[in-house]
Amino acid sequence: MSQVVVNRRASGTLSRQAELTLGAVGLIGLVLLWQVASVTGLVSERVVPAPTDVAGALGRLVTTGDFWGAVWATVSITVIGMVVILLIAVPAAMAIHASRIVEHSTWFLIEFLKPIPGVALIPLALLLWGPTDGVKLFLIVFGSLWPMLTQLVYGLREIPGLALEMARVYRFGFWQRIHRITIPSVLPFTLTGLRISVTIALIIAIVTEYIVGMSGLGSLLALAQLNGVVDQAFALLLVSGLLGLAFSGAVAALSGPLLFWHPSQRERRNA
Amino acid sequence: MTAKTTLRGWRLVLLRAWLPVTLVVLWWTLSAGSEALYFPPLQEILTTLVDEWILGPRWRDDLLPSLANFTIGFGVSVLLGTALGVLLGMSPVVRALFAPVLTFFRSLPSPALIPIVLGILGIGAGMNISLIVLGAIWPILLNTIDGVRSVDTQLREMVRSYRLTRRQVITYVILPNAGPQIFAGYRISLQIAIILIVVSEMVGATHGLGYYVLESQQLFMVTQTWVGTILLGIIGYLLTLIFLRIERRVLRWQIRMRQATGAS
Amino acid sequence: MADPDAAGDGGVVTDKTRTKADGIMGEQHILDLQNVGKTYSTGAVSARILDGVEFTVDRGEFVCVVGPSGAGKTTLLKCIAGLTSPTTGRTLFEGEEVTEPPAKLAVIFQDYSRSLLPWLTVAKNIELPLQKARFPAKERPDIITEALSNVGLEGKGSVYPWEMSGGMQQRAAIARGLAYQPDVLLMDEPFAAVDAQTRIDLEDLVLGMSRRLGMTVLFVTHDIDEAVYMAHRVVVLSGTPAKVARDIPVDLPDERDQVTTKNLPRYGKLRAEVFGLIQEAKHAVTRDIGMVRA
Repeated sequence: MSQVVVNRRASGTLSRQAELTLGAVGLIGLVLLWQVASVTGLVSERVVPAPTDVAGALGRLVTTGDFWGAVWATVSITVIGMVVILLIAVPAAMAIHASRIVEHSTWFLIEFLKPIPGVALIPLALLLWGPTDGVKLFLIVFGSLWPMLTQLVYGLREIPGLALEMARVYRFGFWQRIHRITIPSVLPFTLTGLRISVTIALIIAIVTEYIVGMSGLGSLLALAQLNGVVDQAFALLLVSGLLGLAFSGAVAALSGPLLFWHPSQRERRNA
Repeated sequence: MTAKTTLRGWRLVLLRAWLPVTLVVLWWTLSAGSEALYFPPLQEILTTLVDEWILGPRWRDDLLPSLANFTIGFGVSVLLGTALGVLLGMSPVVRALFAPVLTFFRSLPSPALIPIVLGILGIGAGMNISLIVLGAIWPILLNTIDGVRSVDTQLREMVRSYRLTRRQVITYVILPNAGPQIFAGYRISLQIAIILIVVSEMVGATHGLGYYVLESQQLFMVTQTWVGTILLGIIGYLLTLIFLRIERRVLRWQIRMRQATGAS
Repeated sequence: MADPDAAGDGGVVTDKTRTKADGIMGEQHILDLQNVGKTYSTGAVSARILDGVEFTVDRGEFVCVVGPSGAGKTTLLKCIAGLTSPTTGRTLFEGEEVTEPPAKLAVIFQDYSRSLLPWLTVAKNIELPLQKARFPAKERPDIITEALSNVGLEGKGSVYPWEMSGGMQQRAAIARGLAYQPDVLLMDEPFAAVDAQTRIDLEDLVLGMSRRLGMTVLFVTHDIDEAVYMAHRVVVLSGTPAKVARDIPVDLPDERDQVTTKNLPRYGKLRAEVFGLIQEAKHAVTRDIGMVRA
């Protein structure tokens, strides 16, 4: 162990192998500590169940069809939400970028709507349209559209002027310009927007399910709380975290092949 | 880019104002005298808002506690997240030990914590604040770690060869260097904190703005639901505005440097 | 501080240098490199950069270390500055082995834009390394003012680095080194990132300053003209791993001038000698590679 730690690089970072080893040690240590605290009664079983109990609850959960139905409901609505957000944000960002009139006219509206927490609209939307999947989708789109839109507008603005001049000098056609310059320049910003948007979308989906009781991870959480099954609540927490990881992992997996030329990715490969 | 920013003065104000003003005027006239159950007149909504929240006692009983809980929760996230971030950023070993746990919590949709926090703390301010901290601290922590690690090698050598003290290194080199990235973390956390104060009051409070708006909906008080939603929107907007003001002030050097050199 | 009047009358380096140079420590070399070697290894791959580098620097001397790009000059400088430790041999600074950056040694880095802190004004940048023990707070404004005037940046203390040109930023970095009142100033290709005209200005600035203040300077560069023009002695590094190919005293008049000095036949000779040494080493390397391939 100490040998791994000593093997430091010049810049004070650890080797990849050392990092993984330490991470595993930290994780296992934490779970062991938690188990010991539970078994010795340091923390009450009724408040924080032991890891073994949580694992048991998780095992019971994954054998039920309800659980997988709920996971699917949450995942599918989030994915559809992201597609709708892209369909709205791309043309909107292009319009804002292309026209000064559109940019300034929509400025206040966007700046005002952006910080409104999407969850604040849950009661009103329920009142107006009732608990439907459409409402859930609307809430997700409204709440997590803004990071994507902001990033896209920003990305369009940051297209290197030199690249555009180069395109003019070599008389690039319209599609060539879009394909070779605009899309590659805006892509990193799109992925940043996607990462933030998907985080918020998942939050809104779960909260909506929790409050409204619509099928999904959120309603399972509400049920676990209502019935006072703490080990199940912890198991669901674990599942939610893994789901979040899966989403951010998916965005990261997109970044690899799409941004292979970008400094952040090159650094990653060299590391 | 340069051509686009030439608009100044009243023309800019006019261009920016016409759409929002038109929308409000349209809403006002179209909803005037409305009998539709779900769309009360805007006039009625605004009157209720003023009567209940400004003239009435609600600003004291509901608004202030909400704001206080939010401020404490976000404040604790900022202080704790930054301090721990600097600590972890400077120690590769400790960072590697906690990396999997941090990654998990960063990706965790924070409302999944509600049943557990509610189970441990019950309904009340403690639950509201804890939920905010548990949800909002991660972006700050991770951005601070990244920012702290990003200190340039030549800067590290400068620091060592001029034998700066640890304290000097943290206050004059590491924190300002990580400043822009730390504030980017604060901005994401602010958004999450605003969401969480509303959520936590909806599910774990007996007063506050979030409680009010959900309660109104469940009691079918349509006008009050509109009032609460609009108020939440305004408050979210104002909090963000205040934050951006502070950010501009703290990162003044960076903004001016960008303007002077065109670099980031 | 050993001698109380140094900071008091604002004589930045002069007084100290003179008193010490005239004193008992007179015979001791201020820098003494003994068989310095450095090997970097990452995993299975290891690269030998330096091999048995030996030379000394005396008080008040201006020594240039010159060598082709990638010859390990920066690595050598880091060993001297205590930023990295040599794999073999040792570096003595004022008679003591260097294990961490010594207090009375300052480094001027190649890339000014990365060594000055953009969030601090020039004056604050200069003040930052002035520790309480050596520099009482009330003396600092004078020290900073004097350092700024020594590099021709009078009245620029309240300006941010990025508000100045590259040449001025490098002057500010030099002022920081001066205010630190080091016994030795190490400069790592300090003018590599500025344009040709600014480079000439800065060469004359550093030259004039070092002669006026009697400073000890170790100046690393890949530029042969620069080395011969500025130095009392030129240490030529060459080969892989790098060794000292020759230690050449520059027997030019102490008063140097861009036009007259560079027109002296002796200057041309020295320049040619250094150039020849470096070329020779290069060819040797090419020959070696050729032999391996054949």
